[in-house]
Amino acid sequence: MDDTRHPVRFHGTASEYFGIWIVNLLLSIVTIGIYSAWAKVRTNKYFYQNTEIGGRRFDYHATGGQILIGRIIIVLSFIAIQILSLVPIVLGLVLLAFLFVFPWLLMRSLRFNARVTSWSNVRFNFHGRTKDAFLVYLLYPFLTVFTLFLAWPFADRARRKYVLNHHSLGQSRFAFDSGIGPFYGAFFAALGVVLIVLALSLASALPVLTALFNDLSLLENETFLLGNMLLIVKAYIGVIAGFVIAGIVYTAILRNILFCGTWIEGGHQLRSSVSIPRYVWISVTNALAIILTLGLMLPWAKIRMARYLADQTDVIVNGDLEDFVGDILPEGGAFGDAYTDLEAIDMGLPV
Amino acid sequence: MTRDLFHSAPAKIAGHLMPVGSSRMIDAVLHAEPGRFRVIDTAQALQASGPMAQLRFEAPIGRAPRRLTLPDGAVFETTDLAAVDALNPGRAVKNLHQSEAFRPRLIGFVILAILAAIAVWRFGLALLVSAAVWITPPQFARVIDDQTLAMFDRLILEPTTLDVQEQARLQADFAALTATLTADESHTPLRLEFRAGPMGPNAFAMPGGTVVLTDDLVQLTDDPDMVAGVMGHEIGHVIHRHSLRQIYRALGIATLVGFLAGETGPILEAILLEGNLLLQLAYSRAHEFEADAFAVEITHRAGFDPAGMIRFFEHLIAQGLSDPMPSWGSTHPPHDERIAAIRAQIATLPAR
Repeated sequence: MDDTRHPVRFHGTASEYFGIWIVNLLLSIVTIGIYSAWAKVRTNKYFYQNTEIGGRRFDYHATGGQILIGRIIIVLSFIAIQILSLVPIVLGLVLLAFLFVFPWLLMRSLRFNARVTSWSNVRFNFHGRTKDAFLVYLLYPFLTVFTLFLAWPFADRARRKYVLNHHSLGQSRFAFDSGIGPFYGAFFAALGVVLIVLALSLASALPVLTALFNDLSLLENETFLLGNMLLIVKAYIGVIAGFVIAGIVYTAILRNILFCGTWIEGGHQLRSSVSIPRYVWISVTNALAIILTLGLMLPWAKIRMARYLADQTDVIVNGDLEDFVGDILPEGGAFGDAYTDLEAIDMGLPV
Repeated sequence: MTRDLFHSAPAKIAGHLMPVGSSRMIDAVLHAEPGRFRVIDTAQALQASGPMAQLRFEAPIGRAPRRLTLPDGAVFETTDLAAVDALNPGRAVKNLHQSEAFRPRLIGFVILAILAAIAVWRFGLALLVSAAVWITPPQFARVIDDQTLAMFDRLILEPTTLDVQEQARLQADFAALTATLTADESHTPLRLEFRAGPMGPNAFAMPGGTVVLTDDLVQLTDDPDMVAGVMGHEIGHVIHRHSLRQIYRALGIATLVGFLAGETGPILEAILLEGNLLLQLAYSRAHEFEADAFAVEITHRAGFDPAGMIRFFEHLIAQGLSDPMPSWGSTHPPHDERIAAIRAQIATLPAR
């Protein structure tokens, strides 16, 4: 069959999204947060409807009402649990139940988000089960602790496999596979960034640390502490920055691995060619722009990143874009989505 | 509202039809006639038709192609924005779309949004923090204590060298203080721990009700009123839930920004969380005064001499010692300011 390469195109503009964003922000505050459910829908619709592959666009179909009800259910559950956990035995039970409810909520969130997303009027779907979510979100990450996190790439690959392999566009399943090598590559790249930054902060703090090491009573010496406060704060900020940059590097490398290792039933492939220095540059300058404008450049930053990611993404279609067959499925409640929202867990499928 | 539709002039809108159940896309023209619509493809075949009232108009967003959902779930999509917006009977969604347009008017919205954000910062945050404090089970805060203390024990603290009788005497004083707590104040079970360590005379309180005194602090003086004052101060931090509030304030800012402004990316998330936590810990002058006031109050109630606090600070100044009650590296008000505040409060206490 003939393969055609279709680039992903993003048509959103910063000025247009700015208007949507500021109105969302204003209405959300004025309605004490209630409108934020509709704001979420409108934002997602804007980004999805402006993302195009082969002349066909994505769309987001959740309604503000669905999102709001999901959020209310989650908040009420939190309050109910608080009242119940005043009884000590119940608290233990609640913590135990959470081990099962947490993966179930994540699974429901993935399913809801897949089912309210469409491309070319065909809905996505998610087929994953709670049991596997428990393994990849709780058990495996927990087990890596005993390997000093050195087995983390295995746990992460299992998680990505769970998410990608259980997605489908209509009836066409996604399939992701990759050797463990690239995952270790990303892991060590991130670790390298952390170590370099740690070494730099340690080196800058070395004189103070040696002084302290030689004479612990300096800890009680106020002049000494005040004089070196700035250095300590700087070292702290440096370490945090190291971890954040490492996270960004990891995300960029992993995106390429995930996309290039994914097939869609029918012989279609995804491609991602994100450049790591460029991705870090965009992330850092975006953050700076947002800070310097007290948040007003946030819409510009989001559009800039969305456009860059779209530009680096292609779909290699085997045959025709017309051949995806869709199902009509119940979306289910949005409480899983509300939970991952409230806990700020990113469940996004990297489409 | 549907009346507008019947009166609108016939329109022909070019676009494409996406039938339900597949990714097929058919070039087609939507004929909107009074009361009825027809979708006709390029081969002039009729693809769909029905009453206008059954066409569902998707809310217009920016300059993205407009979408109309047909009764069977098929979607008609077109880049002829003006034609669809003219047909769209939804007044509210059109007003919303209009207000979002990038025009000078948006400056007004920006100013309003900034004012609203300041209001949220000043009032909303405090409410959110109180709600979060309320839904935190005391057991959960105790877990934080145990973990923090275990970490300190590994890193810097050592077991106490105080003899058993001295410990028992201090525990009795502590119990005398906590026995006077009102029902409102006894939300967190309190416990007193002793530790030795290289940080000199020191005391600190943790959110779950754990108060730690160092041996050096206990041995600083034989005056039980002084030590009772220090205990009262630390109990004050727990009763007013200072550390819990500070943690939640930092979390609350990050959550609010996430909910209202949307995702901010990994760098800003880190700055909002870590940076705020740092700022919060530094900003505790008000908390120190509040804890001092509580110490005066509770030592008086329990039959200690509240002036012990003053003697304690004077003793420190005489010994040239720095503040022994820093809560997590916070900036403390100077001793003389605190002495003055305590003296003023003692003057107002009723005689026993």
